[in-house]
Amino acid sequence: MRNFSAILDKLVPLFVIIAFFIIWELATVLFQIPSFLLPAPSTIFGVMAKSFVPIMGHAGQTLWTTCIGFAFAIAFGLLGGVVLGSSPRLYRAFYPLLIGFNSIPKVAVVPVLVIWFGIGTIPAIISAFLISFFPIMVNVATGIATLEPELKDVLLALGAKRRDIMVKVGIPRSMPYFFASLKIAITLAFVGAIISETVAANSGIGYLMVSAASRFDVPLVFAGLLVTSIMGVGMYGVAAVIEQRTVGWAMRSTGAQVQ
Amino acid sequence: MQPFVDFDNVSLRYGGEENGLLALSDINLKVKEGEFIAIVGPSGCGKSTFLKATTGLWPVTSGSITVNQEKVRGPVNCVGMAFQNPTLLPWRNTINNVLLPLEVVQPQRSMWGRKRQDYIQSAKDLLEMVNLTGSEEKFPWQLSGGMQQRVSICRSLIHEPKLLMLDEPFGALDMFTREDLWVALQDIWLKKRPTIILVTHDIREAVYLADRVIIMAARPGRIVAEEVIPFERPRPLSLTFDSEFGKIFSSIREKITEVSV
Repeated sequence: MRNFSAILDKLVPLFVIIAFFIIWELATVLFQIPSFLLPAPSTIFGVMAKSFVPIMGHAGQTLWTTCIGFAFAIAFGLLGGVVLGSSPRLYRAFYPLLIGFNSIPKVAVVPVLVIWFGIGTIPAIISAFLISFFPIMVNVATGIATLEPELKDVLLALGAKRRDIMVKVGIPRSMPYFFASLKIAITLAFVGAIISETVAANSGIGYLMVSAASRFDVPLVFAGLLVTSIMGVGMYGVAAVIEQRTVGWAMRSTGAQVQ
Repeated sequence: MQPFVDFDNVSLRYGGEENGLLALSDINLKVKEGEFIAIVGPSGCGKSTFLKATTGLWPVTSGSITVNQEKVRGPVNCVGMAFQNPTLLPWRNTINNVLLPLEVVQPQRSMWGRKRQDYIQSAKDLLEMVNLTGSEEKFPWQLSGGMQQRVSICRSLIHEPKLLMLDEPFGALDMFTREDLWVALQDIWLKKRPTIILVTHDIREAVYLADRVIIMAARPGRIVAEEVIPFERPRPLSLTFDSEFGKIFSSIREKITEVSV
């Protein structure tokens, strides 16, 4: 019985997704919604099958620009987080500036990036980077800055240097924060890349959707949306699996404490 | 003989020489090597500040502290510390939590590669002394609060510090666990003879464990009295019901009440 409910638990999300598409399909039929307003899932899947190769080409472009921007965001986010987290003074000094940068809508930055780097891949990578860098850095910094003072005292009283404290405790301790931020940041990175592609690019899912919309090819627009969300879920899944494998201790320590 | 820890007219003010909070005022205290002293007093009497000053984690405003014949200027090396909160690293299992100091402190750190097996053995020996054999591979979340505290105490002892500072290490535990750990701590002390400074709220704990109980008063934190505890070692737990024990207990209790009002 327990086995059955465990399997059910795993399958329920799948049922929800299938039910979502069925209700959507029924609604379009029932209310006779024209496909240039809201195409039925069957129409969208049909378009995806028919234009499979070009869609995959654009999806591939979006995926790799996103991943490169995201990789930079991870590298700089970790580095910046470690630096800011290790010094409360630096943290206070830089925080307002960083907030300022982060509040700029990234879509407004794209024209500037186009002037600097031309249209295409590079602005997409940079806007993916810009949008996903901030949550990673702030999370890592928080993880390091919230180190228990007693633990610091224990290590200091052993003659530990700042670097020792960072390597032995600070960085491992910030890892759960880091992975939590990755799950947010990866979806943001897609947003960044696609925003840039809709404004200035000749390929990528963003470009595909804008050009399809200008031809009123609404099913193709929706196919683009669907592909984007599949990629987003996939990357989120990868981040979640890595999180489980590496910092499982952080999740178990809350629930299963023996008292 | 030179005292191991020597407080000479120590005052410590938080936040500014002139109008900061006076946390410690004119502390004079000498602790012999291998002595076990306990510090008791009402809350806010500067017990924790006392620990911070001794280990050099907070600089004193006037006077001087000498530990092991060296004047304290920065953080003192080779001190073991344990707190009320066990502060174990959740990503390390028991044995690796205990071994942490050896990865940091000199000279053990530079011999880490060669002597690793010896270190693991001494960690196991320590864990055995506190009845944790069999929990070496467990992670902190799999241990009860009392077990975590035992691991924390082992961690503070692994590098064989000459000075052990304990800041209410048993404060968050239930009475039975606490008494078990008193016995374990006394055993360890008898075997290894570190100098121990124990800060506590619990007068029974102080009288049972210490050679000498220092009584502090609050605002400003100062030493008002001390009581030498004459009982022989090892002390059995039943001693806490002895009438002589009761007398010392009440006399300390009264002194604290006097300074609290």
